[in-house]
Amino acid sequence: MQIKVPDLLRKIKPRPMKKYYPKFLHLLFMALVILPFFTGCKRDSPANETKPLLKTNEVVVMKGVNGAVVMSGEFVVPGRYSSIQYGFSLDLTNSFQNAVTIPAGHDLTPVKFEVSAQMALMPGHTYYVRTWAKTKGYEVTGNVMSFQTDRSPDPVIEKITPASALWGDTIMVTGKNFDYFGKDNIVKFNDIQAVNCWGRGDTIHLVVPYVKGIQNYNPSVTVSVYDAITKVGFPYTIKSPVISGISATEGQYPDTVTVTGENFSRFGMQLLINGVADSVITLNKNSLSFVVPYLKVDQLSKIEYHDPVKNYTVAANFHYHGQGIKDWQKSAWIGDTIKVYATNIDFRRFNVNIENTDPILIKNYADWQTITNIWKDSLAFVLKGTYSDLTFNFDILFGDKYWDYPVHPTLLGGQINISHKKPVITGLQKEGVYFETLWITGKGNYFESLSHGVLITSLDGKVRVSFPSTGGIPGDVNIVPGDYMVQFYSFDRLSDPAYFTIKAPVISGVMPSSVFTDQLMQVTGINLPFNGDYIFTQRGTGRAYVQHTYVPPANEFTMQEVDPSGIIGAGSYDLSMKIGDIIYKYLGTVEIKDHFTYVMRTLDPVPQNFNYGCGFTVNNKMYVTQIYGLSIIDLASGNVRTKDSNYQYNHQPVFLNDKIYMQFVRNELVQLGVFNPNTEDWDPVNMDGVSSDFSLKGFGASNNHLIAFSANGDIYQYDTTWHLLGNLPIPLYYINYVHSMNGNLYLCDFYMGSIVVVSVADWTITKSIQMPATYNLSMRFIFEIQNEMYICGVPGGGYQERYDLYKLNTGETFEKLSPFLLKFDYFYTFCPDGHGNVFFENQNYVYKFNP
Amino acid sequence: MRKFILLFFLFLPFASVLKGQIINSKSELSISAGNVIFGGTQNLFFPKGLSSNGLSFKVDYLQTIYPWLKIGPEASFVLPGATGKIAGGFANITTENEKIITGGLSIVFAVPYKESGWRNRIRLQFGIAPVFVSHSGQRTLTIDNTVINQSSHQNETAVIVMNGTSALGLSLTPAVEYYVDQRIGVKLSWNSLITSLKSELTTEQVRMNSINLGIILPLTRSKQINY
Repeated sequence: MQIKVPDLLRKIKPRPMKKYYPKFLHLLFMALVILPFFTGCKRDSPANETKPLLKTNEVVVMKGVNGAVVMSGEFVVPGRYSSIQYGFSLDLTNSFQNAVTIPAGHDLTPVKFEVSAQMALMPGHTYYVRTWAKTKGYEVTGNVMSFQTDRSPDPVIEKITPASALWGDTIMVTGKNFDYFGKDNIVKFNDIQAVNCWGRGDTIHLVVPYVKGIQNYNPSVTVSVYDAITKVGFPYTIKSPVISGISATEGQYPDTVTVTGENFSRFGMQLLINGVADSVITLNKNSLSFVVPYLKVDQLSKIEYHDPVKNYTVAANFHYHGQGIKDWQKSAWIGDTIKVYATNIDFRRFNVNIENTDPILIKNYADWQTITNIWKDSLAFVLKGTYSDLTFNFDILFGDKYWDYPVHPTLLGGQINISHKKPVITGLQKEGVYFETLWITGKGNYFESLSHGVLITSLDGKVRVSFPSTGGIPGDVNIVPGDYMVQFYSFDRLSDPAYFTIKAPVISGVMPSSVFTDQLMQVTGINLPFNGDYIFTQRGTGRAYVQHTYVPPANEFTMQEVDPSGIIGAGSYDLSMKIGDIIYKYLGTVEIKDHFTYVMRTLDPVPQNFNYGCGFTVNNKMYVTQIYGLSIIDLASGNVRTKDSNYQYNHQPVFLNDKIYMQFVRNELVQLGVFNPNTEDWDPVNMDGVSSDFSLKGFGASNNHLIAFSANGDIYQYDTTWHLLGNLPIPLYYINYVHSMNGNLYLCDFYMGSIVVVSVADWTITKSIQMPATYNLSMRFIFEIQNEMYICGVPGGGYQERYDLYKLNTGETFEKLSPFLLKFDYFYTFCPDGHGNVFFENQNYVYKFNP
Repeated sequence: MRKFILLFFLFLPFASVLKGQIINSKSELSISAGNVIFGGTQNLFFPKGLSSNGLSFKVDYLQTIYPWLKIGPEASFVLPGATGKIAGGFANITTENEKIITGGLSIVFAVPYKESGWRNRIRLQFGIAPVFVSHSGQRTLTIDNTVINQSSHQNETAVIVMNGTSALGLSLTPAVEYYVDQRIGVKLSWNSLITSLKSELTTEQVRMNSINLGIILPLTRSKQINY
């Protein structure tokens, strides 16, 4: 086999490189494809709500006009947050207690962040910065970095919006190098600082301060922060006012006038009227209103808008209508209504007060008059009181109704002179008796209890008295019988006189002419005084007893009651009356007898709890009913003891065959008992046969039997039981006592004040007798003496201090045994013994009555 | 690069002294060691500029495919070591038994061999190798943060831990070789390992640079027939 060299060479030659390409390229391809994965450039997806860990990267302070603090930070771990805020905290200490917060963003997948704060910082201080972040789950602050500050860059004002404004307007200043947090910016207009200033970063909002004394409308604005200040002030424009109109060219106080225009400002503004500042009540940029002041006299006034820079004429000739008081009532009584008329004053628009210019002359500075009516151009007031009849001056004080008086009072310069009128007497009671009140009428300047009244002078000149009074002349001991002159006086003014007479008394008789000392006697005559002293002078001895009468007369001025109880010694007496030093004698005589009754015993102790009116006497003992029980008075000794019980008495006793029956209430039941002297208690009476004890209305005795009356008019008689005798045609509501006389029963109903007469023969009502009207509601006692019925009562419904005694005569009429029976000090209880004797007591003494 | 040029001129005199011709080797083994410098971009666990005391050991076995291309496996063992405050002071790094082992296929582009001249003894080359990176031990990042839990209002720690992890990476190795004689050479290289290591919260791109000095052992030689 022939081998050619070229073939051999071909065989031993290295394999062409291209044969290695596939292997190499394969490896290279694999490497290049895998490389990107090796490098790990791909970032994992952020974890949800991981801790927002922070790194404060760096703080760079840029200097110069465009200086800024550039702070950068980053989140250490990428994360995704549902909400997040992050930024930087800046403080002068690394405790960050007073840190300011600079937000940097709120990206929900934050990485790096940076803030460039163009701000002024306090020079020469170390500031501390740290990052912060706040998510829903965490609040994180990062590592702290610090930096040193140098001088702050000068603030630069670039623009002020709007370009012009009024004092007090809010404007916006934009520029550079302000205090980032807005706390230390000082903005001045000329040399006046804008105290109301806020904002941050490159924007400051502020209220334009009023520059007092400014000479033009172009203040210079500067901003200073720490040690840096705007190099050149920013010229600003304050709008100047423009007057365009006025709502009225004439008027008077308190008309409201409106001025219209532009750029009105309250700062440094005044509204001048004739050069005098007036109150502006409303003001806005385009209008103002003021109240026309009180200028008194009619005039043309100049109205100007005063601005700090210059004055602007609003109206050169404003016609002010003169105002003042025109007319008034010159003379008046106290209490008169006085009307005042004015010009161009509508009093309805004011709070009006009338003020006396001399307060000494009035009683009460605040209450000396009352304004009663107010009209347009007039008002009326009542003059209530002054100390003197005088001419006094006063002004009218008034203010705008819509302002609080007296904050803005205005004095209306008028004066009113008013004179008190002279008092007059228009009527007088020209005759009277001693101690009678005479009535005088008239008109004066009466006011409360001031110096007003009447002056009385006797015509003989002996008496001269004055009475402060508002109604009449009171009775007085000094106005003894005689002729008098009377005058009204009011302060220092006297009315014309009037005349009256006090007539002298004449005693014409005494009734009865013979009286016991414990009786009252009645004096008759004319002109008897209301109140006087009667003198009893005993004939023979000359002993005189003065009895002052105070008992109201039975018949005024013609009949009077006199109490002779103080007189000791029976005999004949001369009676006379003394008024002042004058004695008026009675021509007749009076026989005075000893006591009408006599005192048996003085009670000891004093009985208590009387059920006044019910009682009886047996075995020389008085049994006085009490509300519950008895007071037992031993007539021999006067000793008093008490026996309590549950009885409640409300009827008079009934005497029958030496027994004493009494109706009482026990255990809420009306019962009838017979008194047992041994037990001093009540033995019950059998009530069988009586329909209902509740219906029983009264008991009595007739024909030696007990009888009972029920409410429906049934009449029962008691033997051993009760028997129905008959029926009365009328209901009986209350029978206090039953008296048997001449074949009739007399049923006494004190409540109705009547006595029903019933015939025992056929039990029919024969007549009804009315008791004296004045006794029907007073305390009454009925007792029998020798089969005669006596009724004792208090006239006038029980409110007078005496008893009158009546006897029921056969003719069934009431005979008044005396006009008066007894005086009493307290209530009496009458206790008959059924044998013609009646004892009574008044809690102090026991008396025995003997007709 | 300046270091590289400096070394080149440092070894240049040897080339002129030794006149013997070096036969090109077909395969070679290199062993080198050096100091680790971190050069990452995220500055967390392996921040740039953190003072370094780490060590790197590297072994390459390369086979010449073409005069300008070598391919072979490589492996490295790194003790990152470096701890302390991160520049700026926002965090502190501590480690515990930390090691990094890499292994991969190295592709080296070289200046071709010459029978004479400086290219007979000195080789300039650039290697690129996809590697598998294994990180073991613990690296702890304690961040200077105050963390308040909004629910409990309690302070929480700001600590991120990197435990054992693995990743792929890329090893770039420019190098200069000087063959002292036919049996041994010296190798000066710059190795840059680029990878991404995962911690409990983040994955960090890591770059570990090291200057390695080592030896080269030629294993087989090429026999060229000249015509």
